[in-house]
Amino acid sequence: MHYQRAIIRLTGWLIFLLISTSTAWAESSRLGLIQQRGKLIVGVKADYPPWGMMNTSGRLIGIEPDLARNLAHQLGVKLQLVAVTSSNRLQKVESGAVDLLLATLSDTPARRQLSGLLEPNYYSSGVNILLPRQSAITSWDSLRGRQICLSNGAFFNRTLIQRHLINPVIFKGTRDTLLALEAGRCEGWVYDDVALQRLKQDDPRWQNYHLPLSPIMVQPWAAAVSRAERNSSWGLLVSDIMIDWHRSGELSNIVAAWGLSTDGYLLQQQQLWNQPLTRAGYLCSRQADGTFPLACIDRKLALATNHTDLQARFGVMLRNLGLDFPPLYDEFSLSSLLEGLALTLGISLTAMLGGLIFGTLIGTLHGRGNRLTRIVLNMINATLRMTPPILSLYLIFFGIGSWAALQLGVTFNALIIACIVFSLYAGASNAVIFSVALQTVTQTQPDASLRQLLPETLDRAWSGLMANSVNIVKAVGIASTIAVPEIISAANSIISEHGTTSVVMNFLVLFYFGLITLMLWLLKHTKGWVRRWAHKSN
Amino acid sequence: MGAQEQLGTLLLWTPFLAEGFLINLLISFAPMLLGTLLGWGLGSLRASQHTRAGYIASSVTSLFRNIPSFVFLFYIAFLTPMEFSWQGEVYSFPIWLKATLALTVPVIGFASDQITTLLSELREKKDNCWGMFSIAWTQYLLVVVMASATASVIGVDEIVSRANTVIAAVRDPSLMLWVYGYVALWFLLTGSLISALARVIELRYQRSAQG
Repeated sequence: MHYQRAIIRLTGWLIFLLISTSTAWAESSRLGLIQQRGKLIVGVKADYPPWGMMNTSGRLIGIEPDLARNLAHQLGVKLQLVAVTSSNRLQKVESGAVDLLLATLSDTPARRQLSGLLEPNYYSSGVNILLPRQSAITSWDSLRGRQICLSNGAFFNRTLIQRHLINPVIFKGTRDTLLALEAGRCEGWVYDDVALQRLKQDDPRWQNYHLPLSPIMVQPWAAAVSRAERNSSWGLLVSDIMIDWHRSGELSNIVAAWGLSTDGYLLQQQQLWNQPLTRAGYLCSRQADGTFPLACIDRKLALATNHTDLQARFGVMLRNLGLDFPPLYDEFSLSSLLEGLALTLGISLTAMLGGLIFGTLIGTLHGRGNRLTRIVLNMINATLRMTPPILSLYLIFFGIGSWAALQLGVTFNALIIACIVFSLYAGASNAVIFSVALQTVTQTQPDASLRQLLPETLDRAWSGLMANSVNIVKAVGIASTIAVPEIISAANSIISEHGTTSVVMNFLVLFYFGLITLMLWLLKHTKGWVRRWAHKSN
Repeated sequence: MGAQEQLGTLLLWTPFLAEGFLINLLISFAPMLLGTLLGWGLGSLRASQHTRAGYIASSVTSLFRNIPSFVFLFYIAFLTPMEFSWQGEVYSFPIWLKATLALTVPVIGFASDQITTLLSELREKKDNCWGMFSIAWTQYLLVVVMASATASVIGVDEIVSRANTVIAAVRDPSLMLWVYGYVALWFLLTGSLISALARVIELRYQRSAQG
């Protein structure tokens, strides 16, 4: 039949689309693409006032949006701003979702390997810790072993975990981290110094918090294009415009317009880029090989970029083979991946067992109960089944969690909440199946006791219960949204640090495919055991 | 904020949230239709006499069935291009379309299984096979509507993502519980509607089977 063939062809096309991981459609010249579409797309932060934030009507405003507007104006094209987060910004620029990043990106040697970070830098900031005024923490050394909040994707997270030996609680964005700190889920929040100072200034909620330590790891900020575009006409053009911003004082003007001081780094940069070499030119100009004199740029960064140790070289070799899987050459990635794997399996097992226990209990009450019990249980069940798990997690973890922290001084553990939410979600569906099976079996043997009916009921309900168990394992990854460091969180962290999107994502898909296939196979076998047990009991 | 004021805030933001919920419905129904269509192709291949085509269709089905849509969301968001150029024009790939593709994947697996069963039951001339199929389909719709809420993690501007926007805009931690609870109510009502629909279909087929 013709239409069948068409459907098959369509299926094939979709499979191709899903499996194809190439960005074959990406343009070779970004500048050409920008002019062709008549629009410049810039990624900026939405949660970092005054650099990038949202106003009450949902528009992105701030210093970086203003810089982007200046750039678009010079190019003679329209501007589209896209909100990016610390954890997805490098991925956005590398995938071509944005032409340029102006998103409070600290310039580090590792990031220069991942993406097209441009010189010159346009600002600089350090890392600080926001602490409650009564906190016992008095130095960076006293953080060891304490629960400290971090934001996913920040470059300094690894240093804090490895060198300061903190017990990290990692959230996705500023909003979630703030909520967690307020709810007492961690003893302090390590984040960008500039952002924390601004936050304290703007929001009266943070009056009981302070920044008593001096910032560490002071780093310059860089704009970024994709790695391939760094030395293209597009990268060079942005770089030139940025030099101009320093020389003309335009950068200082825009920063000052948002109420920030321009005395320190910006003033020094303005003087540096205006320093004359000869009558004809500046000391800081692009040299024949495309680089700048060492005096004009961050010396440490420029030198570190050329330095590679053995482990990094092994990483480069793997990357050249198309197998850039950081856990193979980076111990930190390996341990976070293994921890994520163990947690995913642990939550899955707990949710399956919890769901079975809750389901049989409620199912029994429902199957044996009177009319009123049934109505009440039906309502509870429907509410549990018809609330998306992601919403239940938010509702309990953030909604009830912040209320409990403020009113009762109790803090919730994200892992326990995840286990409870998934157990109840699976349990509600299990209860429906179990109750129907129990009622059917009761009809055939009206005089039998509950204990006598149990084996046959389980036998009847087993396929349905197992299908629900498999479904709950598929949902467990949603726990990543409340900072449970399970395998999807681990994969996202690795991607935001190493930028190896396709290999890590393919690994994740294969892992889940293997896990679910294995589970289905195991559960098929349990069906036989339950049947034999049911027959023996009768 | 008093209870009345909180209720007022919820009402004020209701149109904004409702608009987001339309996107949830879009990224639930579109995957159901697209997935059923494609799953039909796979299912009829599996039921056909060609063993090789049937084998391939079974493998593809298990691949689609066994990978969580939540993982596919990230997979498609990260690995498909954002825009493409065709005949001199630049087209962008809207994010809701990516969510639709991700949510379509498990529907294909589900539909392929259901249609394989349906076709074999039709061949054996069993009663009520279309009834069983429509009940299963409607119940799966409920699953996809629940899954549509996860599209917020890749930046789809649906109701959960908008709930977070409201919470950020209002800046009152005590309102958080109310906003999330209110959004949960929307899902509960929609879920109840879909369940009622499944029940109606079930009763109709039971009656026609008896009559």
